[in-house]
Amino acid sequence: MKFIRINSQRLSDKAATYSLIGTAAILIISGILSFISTQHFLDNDGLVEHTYQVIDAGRTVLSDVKDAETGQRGYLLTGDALYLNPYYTGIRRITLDVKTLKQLTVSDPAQQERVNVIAGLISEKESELGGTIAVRRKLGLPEALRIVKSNRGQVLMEQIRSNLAEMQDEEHAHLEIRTKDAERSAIRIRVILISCFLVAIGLVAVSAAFVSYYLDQRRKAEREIRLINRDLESRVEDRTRLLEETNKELEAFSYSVSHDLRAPLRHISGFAELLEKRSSGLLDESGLRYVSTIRSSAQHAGNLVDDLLTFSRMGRTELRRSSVDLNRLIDEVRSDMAIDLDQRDIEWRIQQLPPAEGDASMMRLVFQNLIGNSIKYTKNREHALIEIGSEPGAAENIFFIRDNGVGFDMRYVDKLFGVFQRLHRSEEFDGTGIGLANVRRIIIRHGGRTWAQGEVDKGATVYFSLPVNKLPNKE
Amino acid sequence: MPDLKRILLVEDNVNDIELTFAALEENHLANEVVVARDGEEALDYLYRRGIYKLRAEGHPAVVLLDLKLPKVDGLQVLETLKSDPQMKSIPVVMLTSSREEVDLVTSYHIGVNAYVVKPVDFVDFVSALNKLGLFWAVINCPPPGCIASPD
Repeated sequence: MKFIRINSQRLSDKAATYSLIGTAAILIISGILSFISTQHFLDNDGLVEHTYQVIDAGRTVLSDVKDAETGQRGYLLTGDALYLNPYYTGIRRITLDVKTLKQLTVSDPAQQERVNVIAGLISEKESELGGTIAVRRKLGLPEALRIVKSNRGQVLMEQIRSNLAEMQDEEHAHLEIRTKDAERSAIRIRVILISCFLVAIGLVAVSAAFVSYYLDQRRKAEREIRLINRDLESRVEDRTRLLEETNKELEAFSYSVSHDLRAPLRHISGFAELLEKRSSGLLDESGLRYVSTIRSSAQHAGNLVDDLLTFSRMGRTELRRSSVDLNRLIDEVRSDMAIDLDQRDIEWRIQQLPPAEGDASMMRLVFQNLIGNSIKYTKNREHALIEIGSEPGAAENIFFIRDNGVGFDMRYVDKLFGVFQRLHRSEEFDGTGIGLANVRRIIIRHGGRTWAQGEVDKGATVYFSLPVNKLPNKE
Repeated sequence: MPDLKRILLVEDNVNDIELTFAALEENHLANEVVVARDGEEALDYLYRRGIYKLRAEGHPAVVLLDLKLPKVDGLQVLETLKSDPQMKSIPVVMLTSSREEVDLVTSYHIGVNAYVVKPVDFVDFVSALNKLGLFWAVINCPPPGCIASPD
């Protein structure tokens, strides 16, 4: 018979689990990477925007300064206060716009330095512009032009412009670096994602392979099981057939025994009797005793045959289940034995017994044996007392029959239910020694137990139990 | 003296025949006993054929039939008799060792009138035959057509 290997299965179990875990891990990693990647892109957008904000802020500052300068120039040229509007607007906005620029570059120390420098230059420019305007107002154009020609204003403007340009370049440079970084990072992530994808595909393929392997194994196992089952079934069939044949043989055997053994026993008894009748004058006391022994032996043999047949039948025949009224059964058994009870003084104490589930004819045999025994073993008592009762229980009911007869020695209690075991001499009490063996066999078939207690010359109690409600299924 | 009617004893075992006769004699019923050694002989007797072609007419008052017989066995004889309208009124008593239920059931199913198990002890056997013989051959009124007096 083949048996399915289990070791390789354990290994495949591990491998399958790992590949599934691997696939899941890959998927999670891919997800995280994708998330990071998009985050990068968002960040990058932010950086780009920031760069242009800084550049824009720089331009704004420059334009403010230019506006102020334009206003100053205009006033210088015309002496008209109207042309000072851009100057005032510019001056007013500069402080705020420089502050904005400072705030935008707060995280970059180099840029902050430049902003400070620019702020300083602007401050100087402001005084230059203011100074020039004041001179124009108070001293007139030629004086003012003289200051302008000193180029100080021009120089300052150039310095401011170049510093702002530097800042712009710096921002551009930063942006380019960051953009390049972002690109590189994007490529890297893409590569990783593609690899993850490929690995995932691979793992899925591997998992699929395992699954199909498993299914294959499973199918194989099922086929094996089916084969084994079929094999077992056919074996069971064979055995059952064998048992049935054996049973039939036993049946034929018992029938033959029943019929054919009794005939010679009958002849032995019959001719012994005839002999006795014919030769009563010729036989002395011993002779007569011999003949009598022959007859009683034949009789005993006949009883043995009957008992053995019953014993054998009790083991083989089917249990026919029904609800048995035990009290009625006891009454019937007692009336059957009425002839034996004729001269006897027997007090019967019979309790109301709970109903029992079982084979009625087998239970009848049980009580025939038990009651018969009690009657037999109390035969030397002047006043015999036989009690029959029960102790109900949850799982089983216990029944007992007690008598005040000759009892038995508890040392031999184990032999009590044995086949052909007797605890008394045959000349004291006759019997074949099979009665209690029969009782035990029947009770066991009903799913119960038998036991007994006794005391020599005081009496004996035989107990048996029957399960409540259910007979063993195997019947 | 009561009218003794004929008894047909169908039994193959020589010892059983002797014992049965002894028992019948003890009961003074042995006068009119015909013995058939197997089923075939029994039927020959009842149907007045073969070696019994020339016997007087009339049926026995009772047939004591054993089960185990050579050639034609007891149950077959019983079946033949009970399925024949001419014969089925003859009382048949199964007299056999077997107490097997299957035999009881089958015999009664076919229509046996009585079933007696031969006891092992001879005294009991005598007593049983006494009661049997007394009933069937003396007390019971046989169906009309039975031989009323010895041949």
